[in-house]
Amino acid sequence: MSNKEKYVQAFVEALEVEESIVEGLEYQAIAEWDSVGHMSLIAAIEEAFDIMMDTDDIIDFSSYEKGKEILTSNYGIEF
Amino acid sequence: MSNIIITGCNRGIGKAILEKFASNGWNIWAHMRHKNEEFESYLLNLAVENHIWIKPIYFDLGDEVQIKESMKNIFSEKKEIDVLVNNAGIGNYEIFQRTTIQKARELFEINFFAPYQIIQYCLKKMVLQKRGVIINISSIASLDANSGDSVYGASKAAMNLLTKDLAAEVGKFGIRVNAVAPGPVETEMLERNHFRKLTMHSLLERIALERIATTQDIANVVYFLSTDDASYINGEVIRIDGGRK
Repeated sequence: MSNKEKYVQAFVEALEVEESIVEGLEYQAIAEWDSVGHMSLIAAIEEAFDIMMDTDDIIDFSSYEKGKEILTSNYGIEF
Repeated sequence: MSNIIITGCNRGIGKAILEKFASNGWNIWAHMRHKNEEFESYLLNLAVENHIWIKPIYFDLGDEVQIKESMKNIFSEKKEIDVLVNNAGIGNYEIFQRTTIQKARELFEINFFAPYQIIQYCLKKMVLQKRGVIINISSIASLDANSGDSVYGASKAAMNLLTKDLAAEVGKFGIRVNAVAPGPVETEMLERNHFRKLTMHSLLERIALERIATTQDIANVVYFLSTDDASYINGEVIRIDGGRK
């Protein structure tokens, strides 16, 4: 599975949403990605990429795109 | 088999909690501040006797980086974390006007911010697992007014409220968060902080059972809260004080 596929899958499993709506998602744009969903999403992403994210990054993780940026710049995960 | 992280395992209440869980067949990550070969050998024997594993982990509760690295090491084992017991802490028995702001910060650093950080890490794992139990060791100093306990009590009171609010936030993930608030317990901390200034008599005359708690008294409640027997107890701060009078 590619990193992009793992990333998308984390959204699908953590937020329980269809894969088709994941790209372009923003925090709190849908009911599933609320503060509680955010906890599940971060846990799923950490598990998928075997990383431990800093609290600042968890707070900054405000969208699908921003999440990719953070993972690339701070954790060396290329998409 | 279930797995537990216990902070501050090498003496007092933490050691009693360690022994209680070990004797009930739990695997344990046993935190201490400093490496101690004699204690490690004790842990090894305890593990063999009970057919479990016990892994010593070392970090200074005042050091965020050490905490993070230790938690990373635990996570890298890819094992479930069923229970976290935040036991390690420091005491302080001093009147408010003689407590420096530096001492107050140290108390909050060790008694509140360190467990805060450990909880944040463990919660990620527990959220994924969709279950877990967190138990914070508080104190009746957080609930009752006592001269000399103001800042220590405040640090534990902060933990009490975190316990209650966190329970409300993470209950939906099947995670329970509780605290226990012991009264005087036969520990070195009690010796250091109270016996210089309070007589045993003055302590006992306020306890209905007329005895100081043993560390096992506390460990028994912590164990109960960790099991499914306490599956509907959440967001509570439970006094273990022998009854006040």
